Amino acid sequence: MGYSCVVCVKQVPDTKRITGQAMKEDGTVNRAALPAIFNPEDLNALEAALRVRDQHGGTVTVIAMGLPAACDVLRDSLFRGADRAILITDRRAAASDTLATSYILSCAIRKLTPDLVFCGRQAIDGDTAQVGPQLAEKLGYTLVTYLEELELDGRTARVKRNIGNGYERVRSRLPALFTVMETANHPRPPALLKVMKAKKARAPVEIAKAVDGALGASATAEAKAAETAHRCAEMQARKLLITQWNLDDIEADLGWCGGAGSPTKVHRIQSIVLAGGDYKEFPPTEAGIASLIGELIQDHTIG
Amino acid sequence: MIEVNRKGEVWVFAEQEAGHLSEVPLELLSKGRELADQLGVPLAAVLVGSKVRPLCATLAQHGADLIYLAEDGVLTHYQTASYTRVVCDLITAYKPQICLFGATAIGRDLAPTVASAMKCGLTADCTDLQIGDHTDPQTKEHIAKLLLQIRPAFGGNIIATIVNPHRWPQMATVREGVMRMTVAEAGRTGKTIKFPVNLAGLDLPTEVVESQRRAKKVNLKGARIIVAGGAGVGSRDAFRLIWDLANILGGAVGGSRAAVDLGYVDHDHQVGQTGTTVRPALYICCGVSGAVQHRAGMQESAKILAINIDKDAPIFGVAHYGIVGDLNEVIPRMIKSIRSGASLSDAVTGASKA
Amino acid sequence: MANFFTDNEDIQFLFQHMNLARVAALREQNFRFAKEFDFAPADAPEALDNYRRILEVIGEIAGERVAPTAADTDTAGNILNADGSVTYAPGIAEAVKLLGQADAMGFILPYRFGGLNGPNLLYTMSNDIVSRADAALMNIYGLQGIAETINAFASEEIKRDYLPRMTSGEWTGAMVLTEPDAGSDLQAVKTKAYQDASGQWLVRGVKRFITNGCGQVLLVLARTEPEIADGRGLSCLLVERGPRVRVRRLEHKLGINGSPTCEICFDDAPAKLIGERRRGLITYVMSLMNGARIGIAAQSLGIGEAAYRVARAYAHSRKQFNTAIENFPAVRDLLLDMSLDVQAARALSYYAAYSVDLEEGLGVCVAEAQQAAPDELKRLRAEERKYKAFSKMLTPMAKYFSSEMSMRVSNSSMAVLGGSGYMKDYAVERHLRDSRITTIYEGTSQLQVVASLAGVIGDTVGEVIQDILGDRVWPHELETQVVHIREGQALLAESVAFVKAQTASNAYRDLHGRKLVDMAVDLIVAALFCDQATASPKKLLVAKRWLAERMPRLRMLKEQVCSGETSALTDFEMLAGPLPVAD
Repeated sequence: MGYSCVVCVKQVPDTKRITGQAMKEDGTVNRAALPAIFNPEDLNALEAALRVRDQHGGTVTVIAMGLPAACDVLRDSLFRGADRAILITDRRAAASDTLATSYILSCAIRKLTPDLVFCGRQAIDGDTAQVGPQLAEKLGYTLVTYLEELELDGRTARVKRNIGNGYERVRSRLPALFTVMETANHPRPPALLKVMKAKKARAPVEIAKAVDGALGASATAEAKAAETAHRCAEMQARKLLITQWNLDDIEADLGWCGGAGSPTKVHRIQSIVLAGGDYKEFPPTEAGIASLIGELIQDHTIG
Repeated sequence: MIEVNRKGEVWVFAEQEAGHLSEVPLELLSKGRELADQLGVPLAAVLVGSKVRPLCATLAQHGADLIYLAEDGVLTHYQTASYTRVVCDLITAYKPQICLFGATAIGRDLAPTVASAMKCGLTADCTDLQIGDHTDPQTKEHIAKLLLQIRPAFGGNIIATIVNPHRWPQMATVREGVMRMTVAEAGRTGKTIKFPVNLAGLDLPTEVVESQRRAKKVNLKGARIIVAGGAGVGSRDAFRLIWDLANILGGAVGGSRAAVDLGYVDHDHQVGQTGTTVRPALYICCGVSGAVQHRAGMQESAKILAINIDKDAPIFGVAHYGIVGDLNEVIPRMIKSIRSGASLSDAVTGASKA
Repeated sequence: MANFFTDNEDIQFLFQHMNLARVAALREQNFRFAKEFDFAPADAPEALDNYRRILEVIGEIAGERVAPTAADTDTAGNILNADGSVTYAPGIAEAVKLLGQADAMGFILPYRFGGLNGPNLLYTMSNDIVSRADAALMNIYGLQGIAETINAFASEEIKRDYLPRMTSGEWTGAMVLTEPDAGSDLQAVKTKAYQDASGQWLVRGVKRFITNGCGQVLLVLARTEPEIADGRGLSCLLVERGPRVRVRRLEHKLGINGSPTCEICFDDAPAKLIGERRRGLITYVMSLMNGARIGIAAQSLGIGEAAYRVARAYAHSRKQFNTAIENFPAVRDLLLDMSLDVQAARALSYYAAYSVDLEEGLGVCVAEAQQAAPDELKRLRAEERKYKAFSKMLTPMAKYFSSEMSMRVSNSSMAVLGGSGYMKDYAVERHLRDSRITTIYEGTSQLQVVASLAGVIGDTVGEVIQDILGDRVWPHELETQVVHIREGQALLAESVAFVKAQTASNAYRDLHGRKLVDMAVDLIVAALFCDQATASPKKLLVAKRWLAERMPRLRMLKEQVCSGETSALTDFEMLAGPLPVAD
């Protein structure tokens, strides 16, 4: 029998590699200057799902929401053993906060009716850890956060949760959503024979772009569409087509998506990246120390 | 989602475990007090659990005007489903304008679930909260007195200020240790409002089988602020200063290999080539000369403050801020300055608005 | 996120610069496997893309997962259990699992057994990368020649039984050759194999110093012909680990502590004959040994690379007399010598691996081209012979030079770190200990010199240099360097002629053999650097520095070889002094 598993993965800028160049003049982040990587704890979530499949059978489907570039993390998931990859991409989903994101993901996952959903505990760009719990709430799945160990027995999951100052063992009913900690496992490496095959996997949006480039400006839109459809069918036959859904495909209510569906708004962004080199000296006097502390409070380094 | 309610109270979720309050709700009450006073509304604590009524007095002494008390045997252990139901029922009934949660294991489980159910906004892991005005960049709509939710993002490299203008309550989780806890005011009392818990039809999907708490181990890797001492600290007794500074900053204590070898601090705390490699937002090193082995373990910290009596100590070569002086004088001055930081912070905020 | 491939400028350069497309076309037999396997490459660009991805995955495993465990592995070592089984250090066990999950344990095996069909050159690069993370791991990862030998010489049935489990990493292997009285001299092997009444082969005897002797698949060199006393009486047998195979001792070593070195007892253990009788040593083990030698060369590269990096970083951050010590000319010079030493050994070892790939690939072409036009067949045969001669000389030469390099570089690295380097706080002391074995096992440096000397005397060196330099017009700056190489070749030719003229015995040749091989290495590396310099401004500087340092040495070596000095032969007793008296 086995379990049907869905893993939500995200492509994130590598925030550990932020340097001065990664900030724009207006103090916002220049995402283009940062390498895009597989969100680290999503790899732990994928590994947890793959272990369920290794042990009990079933399938692992990976979903990423984002720009077409997010296909990279989907392919990476296929390299590591995922059975199916789905890209949710739609301009109307831009500017979604965690509430809108979890709504969109819930619409997609509802189509798949999995037994288990795995999310990384949090993504390193936002560090909010909110999408997992909010997705569980929207799906009506049992939420189990901070998973470290998982055992399944029929429709029951036995989970060890890392709650910071200790652990908790719980028994939870399926269907359930787990948010997975970095400490849960070591993700397996890509399997090279799978890499050699699945590196060719493409989503329709990528195929369309390639066709656009190949046929050039002179070709008609119809010709391009026909060629794209032809290539997609060919990829499908070779089991290399990444499923691609937009908001209509998943029957999402647009009022709950994108900016419209997002209650939170950005008021202000400040950069606090420091340039290296010479240090700023403060005298050891009360006044000197007070001005140092003031500076650290002002830039929110200390509370 | 509730309607924008300008008369709504400021709420603090009074997280407790087994009848004990942690420090976070008390820290939140002191910040909540400031916010409520600025808005001219009452400050309330939301206390959920079983047999937790004795905690009401503590909450009042730390600034709560009101305590919503929701007690039921089912609520003995924190459970997402039951707690979410109770908190959502409370919000629906009383329509607060602000709800604050600690960014703890429980808070980061409960708050997003509540926000999802209420279809309102939530900002995670705030390090500061203020009341301020917001103008929508597109519509130019001006909204007064919103909760400015300030948080580091992008691995701590930027500070984002988030607002939630329309879909209330305005919710945030707040990092542990960053808000200063005020001293309990012995005679202060508050009004306890017993909230009728209704868990009818709720079949809890999860059962807690075992729960183990342990004293927190040193978590140098996860610490946002580290205060480290070296051989220059002089003795295990003098190392107390390092602990004091770390405590007031909500940070962890580190030590150089020399300090560990001299027995000033245990090996778990060692930073450097042969210890732990760290990259906190702020690394304060006191009496650390800065041997290459030590620098290798900390030089990627976002900000480094070096305090050393020797102006030629190599540690200054990697520092962003430096104080040349005797740490026995410098650290007490720092602690004093941080304690009085509230007024300073206000002064700074005022200045930046101007 | 450490990746030991993408952070290594030199390996990346060679990956780009060397003719991997030619290697790929040969290895993929003109890409015919693409029809059969949906992952096999359909053309050279796709193969090269696969190759890059392979190294990226291995580079990440090495940098992220293996390197952080190396110090603990060195301390923990392996455990010999009461039942004769061996438990690896946790870091090694995990690494083998990871490499198996990555499909990297069948690196050079064909696709049909779950292998990656990787060429030797790429495998060598991967061994370089893995060894930098933990030299001891290479003794398991780098033992894939065992599976390769089974693939090359065993029956189809044995291949099907064993290879898939080896590619998955479930089973590892060992080459079981050495005995208490048969080390360098394998002709003296005493372990015997015989057939019982039913025809079943059984092995009886004791083997020692067996790297990974606790593995499941043991290729044992044993005497099947008791009446033949030399190497022609030896055969190669596969023994599966079982109750009649017992590891009775783990050696306590100076270094590579993560690699279990076993003494094994075979007590009439059931065995399967690999290939034909009597060809065990002369054909199969020699083939296995050549692959293993390239493997040790790569292991040495990894150790040298790791040791150099520690020194480079330390010299940059260590301040003395108010400045980083890298600013002192003597330290700079030392660092550059180290860096060039590593680059030289890498250039030579990779070129040796490339020659092996061409020899093997052309061999397959010849076998399949019997119907081709006679001219074409003749051309292929000539090319195959050429690269066969190259690899025969270059393999021991690379092993010799690379292993000696790893000792020199880790020794210099400790010099840069000074007192800190002597402490266990830094990895240098481990690199120094690990490096020491590389000049000993799979044949000592002295043996490698002997093995490559025939090619040096027979002027394979000249052919190799011609193959590297080719006929081309050099840019001005390089032309001068090429002229130097020609001068050096003349010095070598003069030295060889002098040695050949000493006709009385081979003793003079053997006495000065190492100097001749040193001269050959200096010149071949110079040629490789000049070729690389056409694609890289950095390598132009490297080539210039190399020749500036090596030309005077070549003249010195020539003088020494042509001196007629023979005191080691004639006055040994007097010079060596009296034999020490045992206490």
